[in-house]
Amino acid sequence: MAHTGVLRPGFIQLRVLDMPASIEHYTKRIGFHQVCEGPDGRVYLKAADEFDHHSIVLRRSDAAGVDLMSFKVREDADLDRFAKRVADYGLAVDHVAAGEQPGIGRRIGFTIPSGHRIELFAQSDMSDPKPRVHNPDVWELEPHGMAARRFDHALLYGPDIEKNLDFFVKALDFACAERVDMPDGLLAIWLTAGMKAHDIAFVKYPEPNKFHHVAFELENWNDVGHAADILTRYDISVDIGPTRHGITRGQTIYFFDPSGNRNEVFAGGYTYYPDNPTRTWDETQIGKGIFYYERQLNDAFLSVVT
Amino acid sequence: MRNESAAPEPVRAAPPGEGGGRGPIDLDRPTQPRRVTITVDGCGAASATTGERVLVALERAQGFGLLKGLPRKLPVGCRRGGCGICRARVLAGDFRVTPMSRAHVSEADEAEGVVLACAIYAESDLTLRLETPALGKTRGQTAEKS
Repeated sequence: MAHTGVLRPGFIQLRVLDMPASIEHYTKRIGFHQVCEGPDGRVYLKAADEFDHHSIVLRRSDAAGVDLMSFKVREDADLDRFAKRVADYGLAVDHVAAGEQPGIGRRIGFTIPSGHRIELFAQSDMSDPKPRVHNPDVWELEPHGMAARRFDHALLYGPDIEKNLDFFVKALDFACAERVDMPDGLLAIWLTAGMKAHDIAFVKYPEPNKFHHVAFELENWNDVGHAADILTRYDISVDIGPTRHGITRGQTIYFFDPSGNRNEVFAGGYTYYPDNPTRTWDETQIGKGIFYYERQLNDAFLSVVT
Repeated sequence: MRNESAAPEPVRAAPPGEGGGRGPIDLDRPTQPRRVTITVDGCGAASATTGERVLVALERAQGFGLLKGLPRKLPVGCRRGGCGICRARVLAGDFRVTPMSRAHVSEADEAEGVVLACAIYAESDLTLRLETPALGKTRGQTAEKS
């Protein structure tokens, strides 16, 4: 197994203002399924094409945004190895007991320089619905809503992202697939633990621990069009799209959940091999990098976060 | 100047559910939306209905060129009460409120008539003033961590 250590995004915990409206949005519109509700009221969701117990956690709160993002590692011993590496790097590591979220084993957690909480876990129960593994159909349960296949990545906003970059590369073995450098310094980074163009991304922002979007993967460009039809039919607040990113090449729509947390559904994106060089952008072409067809940023990209 | 006696008592009601954003008026609703006027203090006025978010009515009015006095483009973000960019102060009129992030409008703010324009629905003619926050400045308390 060539892919060791941090494998991929596992789950993200979002704060929502209205739980029933949020459940309806993420299940009926995005196309996820509710796995269970925990004793503290948190609600656990997954896509039918995911094996693990859940990938989205919704927590009722008075303020929208993100609580944490957790990555899955290959084996339990990785948690001890990364706990030592993260501590040696200089970040405080804490431990979350197995079962704090249903179906999920023990986790380690730490706060990165941009102010976000990142966690690692190794074990997850499987939950239904999930793909069949023997003589599998393309889907076991027919897709609904936007037909999202998985929680794919998140874009987070905060200060000191050059420190995030150093930490993710040196302590967690991520690679930087793409970056934007402005005359006054690093503006944005796209980081990957595997062969996707990004698993997590950061944009420089004065306030720590802010949330730009959570992204769900669709099968193809036609599904992006179908998602756009759903957005209008159900009067969901749209940010931009359908369009394309120059960075990562994803075909995309940005929109907002009922609490104002930005969502993305996207298809495509290139394959990143560990020996690939980092693709770089500068201030003259950033518009094309972010929104390839519009070739300029919209008003909301750098300023609207939760 | 703001007339203190005109500060509205926010009327809390159940959100109107789906719709009420940029879509058409839902003719199946038991109570027909009524037409009202939203005045942006010193910037112009917008025709709206009681069945749509105030910010959405302002967006439409801006598209028709009716808010020429705005010093800058109307601040539009999530349209769902989360990002805080459409922060405003209601100077006169009645409205109902749907959830607004307490990171941007504290209870004390709300008692003074501060709102997110995307999260309110007019119940009468309204007058409001935009109070757009500076980039990267969260106003109220921040959310607790789990």
